[in-house]
Amino acid sequence: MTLFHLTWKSFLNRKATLLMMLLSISMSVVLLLGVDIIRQQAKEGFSSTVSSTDLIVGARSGQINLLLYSVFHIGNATNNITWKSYENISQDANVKWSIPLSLGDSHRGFRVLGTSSAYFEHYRYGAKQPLAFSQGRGFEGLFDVVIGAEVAKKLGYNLGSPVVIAHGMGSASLMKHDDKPFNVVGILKPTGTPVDNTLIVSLEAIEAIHVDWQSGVQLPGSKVTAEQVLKMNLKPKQITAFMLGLNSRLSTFHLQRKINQYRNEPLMAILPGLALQELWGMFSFVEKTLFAISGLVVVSGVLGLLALLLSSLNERRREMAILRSVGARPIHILTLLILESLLVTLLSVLLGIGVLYLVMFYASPLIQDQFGVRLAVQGLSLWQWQLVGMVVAAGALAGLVPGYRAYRHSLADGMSIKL
Amino acid sequence: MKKLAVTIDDLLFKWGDGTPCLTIPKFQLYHGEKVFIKGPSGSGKSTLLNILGGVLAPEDGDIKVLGHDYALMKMSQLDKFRADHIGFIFQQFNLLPFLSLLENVCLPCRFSSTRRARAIDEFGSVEQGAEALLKRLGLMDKHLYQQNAAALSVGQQQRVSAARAILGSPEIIIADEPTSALDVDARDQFLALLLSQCELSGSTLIFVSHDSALEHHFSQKLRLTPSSNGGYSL
Repeated sequence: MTLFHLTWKSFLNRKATLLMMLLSISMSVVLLLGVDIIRQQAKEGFSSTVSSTDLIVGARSGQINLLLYSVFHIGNATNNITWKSYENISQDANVKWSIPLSLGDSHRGFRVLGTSSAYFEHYRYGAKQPLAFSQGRGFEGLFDVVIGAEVAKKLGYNLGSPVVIAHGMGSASLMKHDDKPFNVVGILKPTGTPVDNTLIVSLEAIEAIHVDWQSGVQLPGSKVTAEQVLKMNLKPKQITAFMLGLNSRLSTFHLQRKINQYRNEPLMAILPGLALQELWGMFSFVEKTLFAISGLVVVSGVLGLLALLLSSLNERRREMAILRSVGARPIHILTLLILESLLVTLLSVLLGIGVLYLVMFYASPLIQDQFGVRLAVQGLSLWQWQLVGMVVAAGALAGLVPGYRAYRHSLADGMSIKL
Repeated sequence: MKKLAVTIDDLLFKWGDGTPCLTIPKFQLYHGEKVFIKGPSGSGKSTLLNILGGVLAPEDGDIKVLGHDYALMKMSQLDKFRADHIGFIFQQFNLLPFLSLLENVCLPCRFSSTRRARAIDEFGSVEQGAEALLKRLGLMDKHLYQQNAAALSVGQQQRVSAARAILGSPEIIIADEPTSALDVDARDQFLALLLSQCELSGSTLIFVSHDSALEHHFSQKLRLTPSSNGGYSL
């Protein structure tokens, strides 16, 4: 029978109160780790939105603005860029592939992206994963549209569903391109990126629905029908932005400088990785606040444990005196109390981790359903283990306070058991 | 020639506020002796026991137990000495309620390797020793041994405490009113068992009580009496 055995038996003797404490600390651990896991996965998801793209080029503005509208489809471009500039730059010797992007139209609240088939070929997200079709294929005909997984799910679209594209963003009372309806020909697999919420058509299609429009309104009396438009020259005159993949990453900065100094038109090229980092940095105060709050919850849990241990000391004075009388030294008494708080925090942490994984396991599909964010159930990171370690250490430290008091008591009380 | 187990000379103990509490001009006890110390409540019985146990240090005077001068020993040495050589029995609530009978009896042998070695020497193992002593003290029911101490009657608890104090044969056993919670029959029975077990293990017994009815069991009797300085003296 060791000191640990004694601690355990004494713990069981007071299990009702200690169990409540255990639950309270384990909940704080769930919160702490939960916040950290969501933070980590949000960051990972965020930075995996676009990969393998070396440069994103758009009209000159801020790099975050460009990143937001070209990759996240949030906000609008300050200006379009000419097709000529796109052709010029994409023919640069350093460029391996290019994806033109044309934004500005929507369908029932979802963004419509005009692009080329290079999009399906070269666009990468996450760990350099290409886009994949769950049904159908890429666009071939002028009025073909490929939809993201989320669009298909929310709107209940299947292959062959008709789609009418609206001019501008928003879902109410927009001018509609209803004279030129589209057909769903492909549905993409979920990616966990803004692609899921996007409808993808060809650049020519974007051009086609706008042939009889000028300055955002349809010209009266000059209606061009869908049949007529098929026979027209639909070479795009301008696009919103484009992505570039280079032959060698070494040429990135060289080409970036070249684009930024492009003479014919004010252009800007950004490195998506850097821009993503800067954008995430803007959220970091939210992240830090959440983390601080969950940290404080843990602190309050540990303080609660401290209070409980301190208040139990008086009723345990007899226990200490008996132990002293059978030969326990004050250091044993100190050890006993530290072991106890260590035991409580250790069990709390284990319970907390268990509950966390249970919640993640069952909540992950729900969260994906509700928010479109994929919560991967994975092991704790080194940092999270360090957090857990800190909680346990704080618990052990909390035991030091009542431990020291009991130590002083047992020196003063000796073996006389006061009633 | 008999060896001295305890000698006290010119001992003076004061509380922190300076009120004198206990004076002992001279006290001697030989190995194997059994002494009855009578004193009313508040006369400093517990103080005396804590001084004998080395938990409280006197203001003045010498105290030697088994040839060890307490004044020359450090706190940790006193702790070890007490664990190895002194067994205690208190008035009541001696046992840890969340441990089984057997675990309670074995406790001192967990903290003192000397007593553990002696118990193993005598009985083969600590647990066997505990069982043997419990049996000798009249607790025959073996399936009681695994039960929590809280389930026992006070009389049974005191026997368990006695077994605990004796296991590992400490040279000195200090009993602080161990019978005050017992009725007369149980009291006499307990005392007889305790005395015979001390005889068997050759332990020196220091028995403190306010109850004169127990005096006749002891050959050596002492009294704590009020002294002129407001405290008590032996």
